[in-house]
Amino acid sequence: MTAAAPRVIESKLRGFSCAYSDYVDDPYQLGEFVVVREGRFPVIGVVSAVESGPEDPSRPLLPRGAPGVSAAEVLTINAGMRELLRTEVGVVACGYFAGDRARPGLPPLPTPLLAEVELAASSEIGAFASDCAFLERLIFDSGSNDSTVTAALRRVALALKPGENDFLVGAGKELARLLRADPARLATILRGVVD
Amino acid sequence: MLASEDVARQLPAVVGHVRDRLDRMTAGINQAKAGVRSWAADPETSNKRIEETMAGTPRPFALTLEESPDGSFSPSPFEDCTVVAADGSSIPVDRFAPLPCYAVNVGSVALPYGTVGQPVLTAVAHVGPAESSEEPDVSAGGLDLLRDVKEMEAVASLAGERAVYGPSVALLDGTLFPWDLDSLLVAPSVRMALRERTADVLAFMRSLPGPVSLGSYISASRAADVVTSLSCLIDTDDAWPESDSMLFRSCLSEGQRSAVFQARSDRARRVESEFSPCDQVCFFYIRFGDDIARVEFPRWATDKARVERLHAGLVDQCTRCDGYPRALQEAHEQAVVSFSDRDLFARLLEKATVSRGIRWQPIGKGASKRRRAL
Repeated sequence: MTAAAPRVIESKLRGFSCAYSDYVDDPYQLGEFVVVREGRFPVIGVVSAVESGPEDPSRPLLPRGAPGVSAAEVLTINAGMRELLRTEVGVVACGYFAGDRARPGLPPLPTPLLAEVELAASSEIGAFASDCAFLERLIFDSGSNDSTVTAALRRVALALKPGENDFLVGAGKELARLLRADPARLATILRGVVD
Repeated sequence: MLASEDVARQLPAVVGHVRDRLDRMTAGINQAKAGVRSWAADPETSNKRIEETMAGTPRPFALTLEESPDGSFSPSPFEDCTVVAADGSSIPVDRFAPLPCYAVNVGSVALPYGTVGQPVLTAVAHVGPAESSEEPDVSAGGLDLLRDVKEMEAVASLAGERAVYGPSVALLDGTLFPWDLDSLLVAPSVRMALRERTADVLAFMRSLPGPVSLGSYISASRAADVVTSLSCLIDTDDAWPESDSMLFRSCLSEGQRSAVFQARSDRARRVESEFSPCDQVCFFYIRFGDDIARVEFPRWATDKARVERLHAGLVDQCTRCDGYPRALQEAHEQAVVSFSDRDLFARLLEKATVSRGIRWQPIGKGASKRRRAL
């Protein structure tokens, strides 16, 4: 069963958090590009955090289940448990759409609360990210880290196949420009992409 | 602020007093157990003697139904079923609020165990008084009664929805019949309306096509119906157990239940006379850890299959939730109204009042509580 799209539950210019209605096994993944189409300026961003736990933080989840029983089985045995859990996804806003143009940078307005968050189509990722201008937001946002950047670069490369090599060269140049004062971080990210 | 030094100084004496009383009761509990054996030896004569002795007294007592009163029953294996439950909370009228307004929040859950259907965990709020509403105005009394009835209706509604999926266990928290059905503090018209609704709910549940076991669960029960009946059979000077739980704690093992008894009292007669005889309250006790819970159900739900399903269902539910039915816990969690919820309700009420042009300012104690200034 496919989970319904998550919805925005917290929204800032720099990014937003969205949540599924309950716990999902296969949420959006680190580095995936997502789009919020509602609002005056549709926002495109990169998944930087995924978190699951009790919906009510004052009710800790007990480690239920006999030895050898899978998580899926434990959830089936404990009817209603999934509904009491929730999966949240954190997103760094990397750009927005104005008319038919995708612009990197902070959007003029945050995404509307409770708007649906969809995965960006490959064509959208290509159009938005192929010039690597999104990297500046992603690299210097406090909500993302090196793994987020690496995962996002891989997603763009995948979307641009078979022309991913030109993109990766361009990304390397852009990263070198942005991180010229931090060669250690530059090396970590490049190694992550190459691996 | 609690005067904690005073509390710490006085508590040991209070606890010591209770300890002494419990010690003195040990002999009385043994006498009561002897009384159970005598009751079991001749239930019919004993029931008659109990009824004669208790006639005209207001104290609740118990009579046996079909099972021997000295019986203790282990649960049968839990079989696939849906467990439904409801619980409620309410926000009473605040006399410092701009206008008299109350809310009832009923949480309900349906948890399928091996049966078809998705789990449901939800809450529905009712705000009153509203002229257009079919609900009675309980701003002058009867809010608890309205909440109890709405809980029953929520359980019945879920049980009805799930009946097509097979057997179900329907659980309520507290006594089967709402306490305030005969309360003089509630207007007769309100009581009558809600009594009719209670009767309708019980009739609806009785008529459901699927096998439904109904149980109203009272954790840490302090009822004394059975020991009161036993006091009619035994003549003793020993300190008598104050509650049935004291007796059954020494008779039941983990997960076992007692025999099914009929509840009798003046109040029960007053209330139950308004209902069908088949809705008469029956009950058993069940043990989880040190908790002796009383489980009430209508007489129509005392057939062996329903009682066995209820018993097995409760054991399974309590095993999942550290000694309390999980469905009731989740219904409670859905229903609970926190302090911040109450604040929110008050703010929404103020906002709605002002937006309708009603002038209002916090006054007296209400204003002082908000300010709490030095």
